[in-house]
Amino acid sequence: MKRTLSILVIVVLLCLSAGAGFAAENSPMVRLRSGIQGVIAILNDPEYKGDPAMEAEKAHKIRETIKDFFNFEELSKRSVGRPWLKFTPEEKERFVSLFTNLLEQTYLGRVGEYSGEKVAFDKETIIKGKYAQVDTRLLTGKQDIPVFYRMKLTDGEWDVYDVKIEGVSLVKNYRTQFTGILDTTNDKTLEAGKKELFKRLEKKCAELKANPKAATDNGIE
Amino acid sequence: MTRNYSTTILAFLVLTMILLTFPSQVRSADTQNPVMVAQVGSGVIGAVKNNPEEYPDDEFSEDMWGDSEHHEEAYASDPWQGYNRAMFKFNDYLYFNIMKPITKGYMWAVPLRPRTWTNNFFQNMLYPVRLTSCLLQGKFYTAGAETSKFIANSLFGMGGLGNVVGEAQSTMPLYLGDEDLGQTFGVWGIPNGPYFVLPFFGPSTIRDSVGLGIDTFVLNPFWWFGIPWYYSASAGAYNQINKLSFHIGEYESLKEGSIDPYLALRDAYLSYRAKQVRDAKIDPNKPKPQMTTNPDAAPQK
Repeated sequence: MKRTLSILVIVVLLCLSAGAGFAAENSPMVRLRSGIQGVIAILNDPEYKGDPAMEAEKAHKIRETIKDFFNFEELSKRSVGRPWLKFTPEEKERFVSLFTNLLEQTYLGRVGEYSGEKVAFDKETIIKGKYAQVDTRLLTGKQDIPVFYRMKLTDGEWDVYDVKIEGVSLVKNYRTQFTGILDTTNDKTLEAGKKELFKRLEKKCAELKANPKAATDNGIE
Repeated sequence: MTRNYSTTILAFLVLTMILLTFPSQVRSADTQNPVMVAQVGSGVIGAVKNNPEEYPDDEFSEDMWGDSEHHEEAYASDPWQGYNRAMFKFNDYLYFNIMKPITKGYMWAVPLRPRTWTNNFFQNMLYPVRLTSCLLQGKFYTAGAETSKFIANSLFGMGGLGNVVGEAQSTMPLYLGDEDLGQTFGVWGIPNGPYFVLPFFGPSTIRDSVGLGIDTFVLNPFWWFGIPWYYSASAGAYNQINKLSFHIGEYESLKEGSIDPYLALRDAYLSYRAKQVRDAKIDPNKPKPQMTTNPDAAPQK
């Protein structure tokens, strides 16, 4: 009896320490790696290879996986910048969905170009316990492409809200564009700006959906 | 008499060719250097400041990353936006209707390998451009690496066609510094000045245009030895076409995802240049990654 009890105690202790060890593993880097690895696993899945009918399902699965470790609300908020505070909840929701759609349409095709490159995770920097930057490199064999992921801790999970490649930040690049449209001089100009912004976003999404290539091949507009 | 006449026609044709085909930038660049857009390459951002007390709890603030300065540098002063937008449209038209078809035809005709040799050759020839900037910035390690690479490639690489020391396995890490005078001015603390879109060459700033002018006409050996200017210029144009053949699709992908391509390109250019100016010292030792992804992973069932 005593022996059983002591074994039980040991087992419980082991479980606890394993749990603690697992908690320590909740690092931005580990989280990012598992997220990216998840996408690679789908890309490698033989189930989807060479079957055009499965392409749509594969794209859907990739989107879901990316959504899991990307925080598109935060990404949208920062891309808009301070005018975001003057967006109504409905507008925010609409914006997030349109912008997410735009990013997916644009970058999902690029994901498909993956051909067995490795991603190296070099460093993580955590600031204020809430923000983190993970320095990674895409090892293409010929040269390394440094990619920095910026992440935020939301509800106990690290999620990506910005990607920075070669000094160019995704969020900042879009903020430059959105700032050019959103005139914050007064409420009236802001309303007009918002309308224009949604119009352009919707047009872009429709274009990308209708024909992903034609949107760029025919020059401007 | 007839002969002189035909020379004039030839010169005129060559000139037209050049004017029509000159794309982004004549400057020292390795294959990974961007053509119109800074999208791929190499470098490190400034050290991340890690002092939480310094920053107010502002949910929009990006100051904590220690690259606000870098962002400020990339902040655009754009007083000539009307002109710039018109020029952007012109370059865009040129790219899609002339540059891209020509380059695609070239890629169809010339396989990857000779194109790489051509690239190496031009790369090697433009050594004086990069060396000057390395020295002016006091980057002596890079200057040494450039020099040893130049000598090795010229002697053993068939006058620069090969790239005998370009691989990572070489005994000494011989990377190219990818330096130019615009960056040098930046390192000296000269600000960008207004954003300025050059016809044919693409996005630039006043500072970078001056640097580019000197790089192209003073430091580029194609303009030495009394070579007639139209030969020098066509060599430059050919280099650009050849280089573009490695980068087809980059400008398209930037444009594809943007709501306002002009502003997207402006930000990309300025951010990339700011990063190039700030990566004062490239660490010759590659960092040891803490972990990597497994490229062969299959999904767990």
